[in-house]
Amino acid sequence: MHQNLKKIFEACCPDVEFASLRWVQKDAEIITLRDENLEPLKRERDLGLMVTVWHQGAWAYAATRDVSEPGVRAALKQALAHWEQTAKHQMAWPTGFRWPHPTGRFESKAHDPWQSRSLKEKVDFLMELNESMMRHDSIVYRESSLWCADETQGYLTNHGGDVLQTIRYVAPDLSVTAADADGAQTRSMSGRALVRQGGLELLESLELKARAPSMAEDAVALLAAPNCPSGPMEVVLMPDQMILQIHESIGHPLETDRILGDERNYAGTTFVTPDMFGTYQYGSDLLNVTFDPTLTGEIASYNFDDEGHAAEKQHLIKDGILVRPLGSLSSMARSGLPGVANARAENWNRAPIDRMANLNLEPGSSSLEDMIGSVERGVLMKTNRSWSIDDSRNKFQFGCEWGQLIENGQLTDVVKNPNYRGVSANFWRNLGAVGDASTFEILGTPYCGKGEPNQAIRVGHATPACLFRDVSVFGGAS
Amino acid sequence: MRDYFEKLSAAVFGSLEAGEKASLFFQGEASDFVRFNQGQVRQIGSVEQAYASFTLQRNGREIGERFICSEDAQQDAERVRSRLPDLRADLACLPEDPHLEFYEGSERRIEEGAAPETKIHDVVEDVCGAAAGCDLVGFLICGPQFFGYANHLGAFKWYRRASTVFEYSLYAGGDKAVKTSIAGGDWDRDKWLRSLQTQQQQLALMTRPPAKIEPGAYRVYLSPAAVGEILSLFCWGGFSQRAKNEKRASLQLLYEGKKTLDPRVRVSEDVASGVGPFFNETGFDRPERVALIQAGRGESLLVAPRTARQSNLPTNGADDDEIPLSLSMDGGKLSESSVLPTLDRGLYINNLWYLNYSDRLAGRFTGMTRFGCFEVQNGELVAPIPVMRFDDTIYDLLGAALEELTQGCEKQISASTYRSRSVSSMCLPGALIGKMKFTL
Repeated sequence: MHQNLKKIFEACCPDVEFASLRWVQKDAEIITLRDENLEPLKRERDLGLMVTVWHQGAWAYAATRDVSEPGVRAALKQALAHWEQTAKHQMAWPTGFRWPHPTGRFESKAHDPWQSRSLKEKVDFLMELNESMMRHDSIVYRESSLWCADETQGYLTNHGGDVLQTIRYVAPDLSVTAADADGAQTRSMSGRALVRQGGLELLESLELKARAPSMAEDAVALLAAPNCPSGPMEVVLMPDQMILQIHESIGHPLETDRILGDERNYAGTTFVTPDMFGTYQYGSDLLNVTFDPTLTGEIASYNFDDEGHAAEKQHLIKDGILVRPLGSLSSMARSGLPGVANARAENWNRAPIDRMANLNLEPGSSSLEDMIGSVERGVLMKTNRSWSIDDSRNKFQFGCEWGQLIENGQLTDVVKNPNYRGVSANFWRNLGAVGDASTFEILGTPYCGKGEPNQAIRVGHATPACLFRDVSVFGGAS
Repeated sequence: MRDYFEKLSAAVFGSLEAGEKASLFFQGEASDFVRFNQGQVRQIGSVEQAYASFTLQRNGREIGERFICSEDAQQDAERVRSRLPDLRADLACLPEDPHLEFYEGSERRIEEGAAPETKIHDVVEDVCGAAAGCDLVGFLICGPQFFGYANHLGAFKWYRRASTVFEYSLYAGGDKAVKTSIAGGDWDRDKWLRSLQTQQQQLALMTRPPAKIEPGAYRVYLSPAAVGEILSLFCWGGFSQRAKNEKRASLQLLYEGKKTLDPRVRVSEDVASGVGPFFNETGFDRPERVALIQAGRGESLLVAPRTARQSNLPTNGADDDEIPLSLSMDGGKLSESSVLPTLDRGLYINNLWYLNYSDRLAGRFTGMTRFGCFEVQNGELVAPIPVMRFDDTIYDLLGAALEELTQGCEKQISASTYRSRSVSSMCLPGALIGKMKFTL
């Protein structure tokens, strides 16, 4: 496919300053079991391409499912027509901007490819998980699922750019609900948060067989638990809630296209302004956040972004100080700010925009026991279930599935419906402790939504557990 | 694309074995997309995509494969036929599925709206010409969409619509902005110019010094767009029979009869007035109207064919996710011209944003104000308000706190484009609410 499209592109590339062809092929399978019943098996094959033309400071694209030479020619003709007709109305690009022409390869490591086990083995595996969640009469619903995908993307430019990257990933999911006459409680993996690059070896290393019955017991315990208390208190957030906190109140605010105003009609703007970089105290001096596409197995690891920018690890926040936004090459040029290799597209039919990729909070030096031991009155929360934040990414309210009181340095009673709210700019400055490597987990989400047209993209977040001081906490409706 | 799907469906079912059932669902679009920022074009492009899902049932088991369609229907049909041996082998090792359903009809029905005539570059000229000097941020969508269903019994259903949707905001600095949307089959330049003038007038109010609003309970007017944000949240698992079965429905208490809304609240799935196809992805027709909430009480839920088999209920043509496609809420007695005088003092909420559940089963949810929200004194908009977080329940807002609904309902066509362009719409009134709780 890649070599064929390279020949086609070379043959019909227009005489413009820059042109690119990005093709994507995806193969995916989703197996889902609800209670004892297998849902209809879903498979998907996708293939298409996007061409872009850039000339005299204006830009346009066309995407097509037709990967033949006539298809590429037609797409280029369409993109050129858009360019010709709208160049005079396009936002000005900085003079001297040049697109890269990179060469390179990337391939996820998958020790046990999806095809290495039969379909029956995979279904039996899920059946075992669902059976193990039937721990109590109050369990009313169990679901397990495996989503596996292979995605190959080629990127070609008119002056020799040639990148080929293959991502293989597995996104397992578990969910269990317990109910009685007074209500219901669900434990889950917070929307496939265990998504990772790799193969079926992940089914063992992620300890799904141990997690499933434990989650069922959690749901039963929550059913009998009181609502989370209200008031200002200390909070220990476990990694499967930290990923949401990082995502919404660090990741999105630092996207340069938000700073530039591109997203104001939909995803929103940001409280972050260009003058903050290098001086702004984003969090306590324990806060270190990196853009890290190099962490093996994390879902958004790659060597090049979708505009061919070579990817490398960069600090966004160092010792609490904001140092760098999430801006792609074009956003760097438009904003004059530094950036990272984060121009990413959901698929062949969407244009790259500024995204998170792997956005990680670096481990600190506190053990979980130390953090809990330092709390006089607080709550440990885990597993996100609700998220809401304003369009400037400041006023947030998040909810978790699981809460457990911390009293005089000890974990005590389980509480249900734990929520907390705050303001990003203050919240991170109240970061009181950062967990050490023993609390560090590599997680992520396949569903980060943004852009017009809309795009849902995979994002990785690796993080330790963290302790926050003076958080406004509350429970559910009684 | 209809010609392609006619040829594909004619060629693909010929290789079935006795006892096998098979169907195809088709979804395609030829879309132009333009993003605007600062009144100029930020990104412009076109996307031409078409997918077909082939579903095979055999011995009480089902497997589905969705594939990208090429331009060659015969080639794609051959590819599907060549996959049949592998699909049969896969089905043989799966457990029997007790909840299988299959559309057994064999009729032919085609609905095609007018072909699109909008020229995207003309629209860009209109927008950039009129918005010169404005800080306009927006998203323009234009082009046809196609849906098809066919099965081995001869059923063939086809739906085509063309639309032009322009959703845009005007900014007056920072997060001070107003937002609206104009939608129709083709671009209406006069409608756009009138819309821009109205929005510019509202934007002028946004430049006033903002009111200081402390957390607490306020009397509010929620515009149809704001009501739409609330109902959109509750579409997410609220009207789903399967979610109710699993004890996960956000309107669980309403449909269990443990809670009620105000008797004036009447909500329906009103496909007849919507913009979506008349059939679902498994070929079942959607009824013209399904009453979901009547007189404030849970009346019916959306039931996908698979849930119907599981629950021993009739299906009402819902998609598998059981999310309303064309939600409609009846209006009330409040005329639009009397909204501000009747509100007198309080908050005028034009838009809400980023809603999510605080306590899903209790119907409690949170969210933010956004775009064109004002303090009202003596029946007049006096000052913009800063973004505020609310936290309340559906049973309060559309229950005891509901004072009145507006007479007119506003049709809102979705500009959502995740994976493909949405065909969902809503038709909703505004709501005067006696007490809405703001927390931050």
